[in-house]
Order: sequence, then C-alpha cells, then structure tokens
Amino acid sequence: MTKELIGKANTSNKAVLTWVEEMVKLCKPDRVYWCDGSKAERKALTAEAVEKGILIKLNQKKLPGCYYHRSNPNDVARVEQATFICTESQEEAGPTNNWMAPKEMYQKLRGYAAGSMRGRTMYVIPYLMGPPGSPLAKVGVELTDSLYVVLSMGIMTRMGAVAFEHLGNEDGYNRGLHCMLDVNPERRYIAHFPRDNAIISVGSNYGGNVLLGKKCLALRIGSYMGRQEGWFAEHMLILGVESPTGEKTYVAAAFPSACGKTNFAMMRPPTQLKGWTIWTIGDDIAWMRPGPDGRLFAINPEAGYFGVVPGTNSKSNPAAVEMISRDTIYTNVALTPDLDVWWEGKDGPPPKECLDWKGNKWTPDSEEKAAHPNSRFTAPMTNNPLLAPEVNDADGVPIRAIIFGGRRSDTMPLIYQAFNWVHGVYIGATMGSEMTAAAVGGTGQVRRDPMAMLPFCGYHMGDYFRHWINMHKTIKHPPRIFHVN
Amino acid sequence: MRVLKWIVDRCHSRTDAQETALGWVPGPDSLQLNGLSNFTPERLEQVQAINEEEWRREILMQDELFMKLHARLPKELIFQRELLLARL
Repeated sequence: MTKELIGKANTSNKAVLTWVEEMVKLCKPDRVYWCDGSKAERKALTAEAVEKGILIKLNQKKLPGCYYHRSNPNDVARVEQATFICTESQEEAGPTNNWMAPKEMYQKLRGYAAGSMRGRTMYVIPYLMGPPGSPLAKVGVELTDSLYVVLSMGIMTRMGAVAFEHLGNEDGYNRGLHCMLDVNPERRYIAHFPRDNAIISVGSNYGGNVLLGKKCLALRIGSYMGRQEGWFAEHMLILGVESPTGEKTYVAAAFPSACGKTNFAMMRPPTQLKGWTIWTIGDDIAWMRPGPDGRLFAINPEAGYFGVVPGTNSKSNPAAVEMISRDTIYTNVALTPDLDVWWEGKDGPPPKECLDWKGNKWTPDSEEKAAHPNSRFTAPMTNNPLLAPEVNDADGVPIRAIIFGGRRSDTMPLIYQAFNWVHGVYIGATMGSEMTAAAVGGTGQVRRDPMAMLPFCGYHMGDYFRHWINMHKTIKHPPRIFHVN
Repeated sequence: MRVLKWIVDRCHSRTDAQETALGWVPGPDSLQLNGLSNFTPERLEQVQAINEEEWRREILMQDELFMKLHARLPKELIFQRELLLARL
C-alpha cells in the first residue's frame, strides 16, 4: 500500500526512502509527489496553485512570471514564542531559547502530524543549501503539504535532483517535516532537534516558520553544527566591493531583521564614487569556514531573497525594484484592480483603490496599511542585476571585514572599528536596535540582539560567544570588525 | 557607501584612523564628504560624537543580557566591558 503511495521517488538513497516511508505512514497523505526542480514541474505546480486559489496570477504584462499570495491574517510573521530548540538539556538551549524535552516535543508534534495530510498531497522537497560540489554545502529534505512552500523553496534553495546528486548515498541530510494543519496559532510549533539534525514545523504557512532551509536549518541547526564542526552560521549579508581598479573586497554584515540588510546588500554607490560597484553574494545568511590559507571563507547557502517589500523603491533599492518585476511571488502586499501589486513606499502615487493584504477594499483615505509591514517578495537571485558571479564558487569568498550594526537614534556613532578580534566579539555581543515588525511584537525600544542571532541561535548564547572567541585560534588572518549605525 | 569605502580601505591598511574610547574612527579627512550637500564636517563630528552619559547608560542596558547569560558568559566579555569603562 505504502509503495504505491510513495510514487516515483527520484533517489535510491535508503536513508531518505526509509524516512519518507515512515512519515507517509504517520501523516497519511492521499498522494506523495517527489520534486525534481525542473522548469516543467514548476510550470505545472504553479498552474495547480493558481487553480486551487493558493496563488493569484498577476498582470503578466507588467509583472511577467509573478504571482500573489495572501497568508492567513493570524500567520504573517515568524513567532518566537512558538519556536523551540529541543536540545537534550534545557541548559544547552540557554535562557534565550524556548525549550522542551525532545521526547515530549516529538510526542506532541507526532500527535498533531498523525493523519494530518488525509485528502492532501505530501510533497518531497530535496534541497541544497550552497553551491553544488561545495564542501560547505548541506542537503535537506522537507516534506510538506503546502504548495506555497514548494514553490517558495524552489526559489529560495537549489531544489530538486541537484540536491540528491550532492547527497549521494549519505545519511547526513536534514529531515524537515512541515504540516500546515489548519493554520491555527494555538497549534503552531516550530521545533528543532539539533542532535538529530531534524526540524518539525506545524500549524503555519508563513516564510521563516515553514521554509525550513532558511532560519531553521541555515541558522538554528546550522549554528549548532558550526560549533561542533568549527565554522560559523550567521545572520549576515555578504557583499563584494569592487574598486575602480577592479580590486574586490568581500565583507559580511549582521543587522537585526528588517533593518535594511537587503538594501545594503544591493546598494548602488553614489555618482561621486565613480567606478565603485557593490556585488551581492547574499542578503541574509552566511556560512563561513577557515580556509587552508588561514582566511575566513563564506558562502551564501540560499538561492533567492525573501525581502521585506514596504519601502522598496528606486531610491532605497533600484536593483530590487528591477529584480522583483519578474518571476517573483508577492506575499501580503496590496492587489490593484489590474492585478498589479502596491505597497507603502512604492514609486509613484497610491492606487485610487485596491484590495489590502486581507482582501478588503482600500483607498488612500483608509487608516490601515494596504500592505502588511512584513509583506515579502520571494525572488530568485539570478534576477538580481548586481549578483556576484562568485555566488556559485564552491570555496566561497574570503571575508576581510565583519560589520555589526543596528538602528539607534542616539548613543552609537556612525562608524567605529574594533581594536582586535575579542573586542570585536564584545561589540557584536552587545549589539542593539530599536525594534521592527519582523516578528510578532511592538516597535521603538532598544532590543539587544547579539550578532543579530538572538532569535536564531541553536544553543546557549553564552556558549555561542565562547565559540566566536575560540574561532580566533583557527583563523590565522581574521577579518577586521566594525560597528555602524 | 563612503563608510563602506573607509572600511575597505582600512582592511587594506590604506587609510588611517583616530583612536577613541570605542575604537578606531575615520579622521575628518578620511571620509570623502565631497558631493554631500547637507553633510558637513561639523555634521560628521556630531554623528561620531561619544557621549559619556549615554555610554554609561548603554553599558547598564547591556548588562541585562549579560546577567541572563551569566552561567556561561565568557569572562573575556566582562574584561572587554571593563576596558571600555576605563577608556570612557
């Protein structure tokens, strides 16, 4: 019975097949579909999503290849209260993480997952985080009943056959189970099991909660692995600065969520600084490892950008404006009568009327915002006109500088440089920013966000600082550390 | 962007800097301010200013997180805080 259900698997990896079979027995989907990542598949799944009302096809003249999605109004951001790090002991997770014993959490979530996919299709998403063939790259397999997740993961990761090729017959892949359930905030959990390299997410269909490669694997599980294996998984953008002489310098920068990382990563230098170019390698996540020559090398494990839309315009980020004009999925922005999208801060005047992110009629007189402040674009990095060719380099790029920063209305000067590595770790550890909309909460007070990793550290933050200090021993030529405001 | 250029130049040891209590900062001539209509050297001094009162408050605020992590906080970070206080 199960064998028929499993459908056409595109791998012979025993560990994968065994696990998928186990999950099928648990979730009881009507059908299992194995993603291969091909263009034809994407076309077919997109058409299915439109047919099912999961995506709305946008005006293809203005926005070729673009689609629109509205999430449940109770499901518009990551929820830190529902995110758990299930290490063996609570001590290991530390006071900045929610913890539950792995046994208890597995039981609870398996209970929710049981039979939850009846009447649904289970999609098997094999994905690769990092360039194919890179020693830093990792493979994950996400099982989900959400087509939105499948199509988003297809943009945000190198999804499909390429992942299974990289994995071969190994067992070291991340196991991710995502069950939408009924998208009820009372039954919403995002649980990480670092020891088992596994993630279970139930009850959400939004971004960081369900695109398991992103925050869950790349940062929370990633940072845990990084400490075990001697590398860094950081919440950082990576960019290359090219001088008029063609000299390229790569820097990594950590800012708390929605502080302008994407705009910084895609910056266009002013005309007075002629001949300088900024190339984007990544806008959110960096995996960094000491190289054989003693320098720190970084890759962007992602393949797309999941950026905040409001405020994106030709002044703040002209490259993004160009990038999101095609092949992009928009989530929770406003929808105009001619199937275009709108948001606060977009170039040009607001529409006379449109539908807001909840689907209600909106006019410029409306008090509420048309686009949710955390509304997103999901865009493939290949459409970024400033994409650095090094983004596919298996060895990564050498990082010369690490920049920490945040939005502060006082106290912090514009720029200063650390005296040495340990001083730099202190600067990163004491980072703070006036709060933003990226996670459920308020705005305005200074929130401490060490290395911008507070919501993403997969173990005790104190041990994380220790890891940063210790890494100095393995990096012969450490990057210089700076702080900006 | 000009800040980024200074950072890049510092990485290649091509530009110098002034020592302050917080760390190295660009000197008045290190950040190319040409072409910035409303950003004068005076304004730069303003945004680079280090206010001792604000910093004492800042260090107190930092302590909140440090206390939470007390059990496993590396002592190096306490030393760094003391060094900072000594410099202010």
